[in-house]
Amino acid sequence: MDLCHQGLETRIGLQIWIFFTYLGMATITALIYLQGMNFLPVLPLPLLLSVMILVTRRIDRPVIN
Amino acid sequence: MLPWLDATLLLLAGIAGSIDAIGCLKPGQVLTANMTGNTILMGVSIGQGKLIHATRAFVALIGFITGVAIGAAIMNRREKGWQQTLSYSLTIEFFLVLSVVLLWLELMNSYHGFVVMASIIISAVSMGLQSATVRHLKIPGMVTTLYIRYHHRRYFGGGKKP
Repeated sequence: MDLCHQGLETRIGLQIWIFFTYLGMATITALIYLQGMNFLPVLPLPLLLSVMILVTRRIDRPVIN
Repeated sequence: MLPWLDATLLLLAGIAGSIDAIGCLKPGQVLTANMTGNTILMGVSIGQGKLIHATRAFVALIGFITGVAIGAAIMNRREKGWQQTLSYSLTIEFFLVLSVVLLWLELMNSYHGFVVMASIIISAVSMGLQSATVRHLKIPGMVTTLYIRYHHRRYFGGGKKP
């Protein structure tokens, strides 16, 4: 079962993970920018592709009720 | 290993963080994923008399609201199950982010006011769409972008139940 469909404490835990993921990606992006690397703007695309693959693979599996 | 839905939420948060960082550093110094911070930036810009910055922040806010409205409309019209709706919404978001990336690459070479404004609008719309999509998952208290959650629940209903 997904973390987000369990108790409140577990959902808070996931929200903390989301916070640190947001912070981490913002930090990594800023560091790459400060290094002067030109591939900086491409950074969100692989992540979004990963999301789309994840969603497509589970397209016929109902999880949320 | 994380369950796929948790991994999806973390990746979406990562996209929001990356887009916010780029938007803050490069094009117009606005936050297009988190409207709380963007509103603060807009207030500070107005207070300092920097109307161009305030206008960019306001445009980002309008773009975000537009994205949420589009997302809510997509969710309301699809009744075949949330997964399929999610993939439609993410596909639109992918193409929006792709076009933003192309605009950012253009901004690496030269600086045009029109390109800056277009990149702000499109990235804000894509983040609004993401916000509406995550809201549609109906996980209590779970967001990957902030601020507008209450408003689109109130005005758009957040989509039909699957």
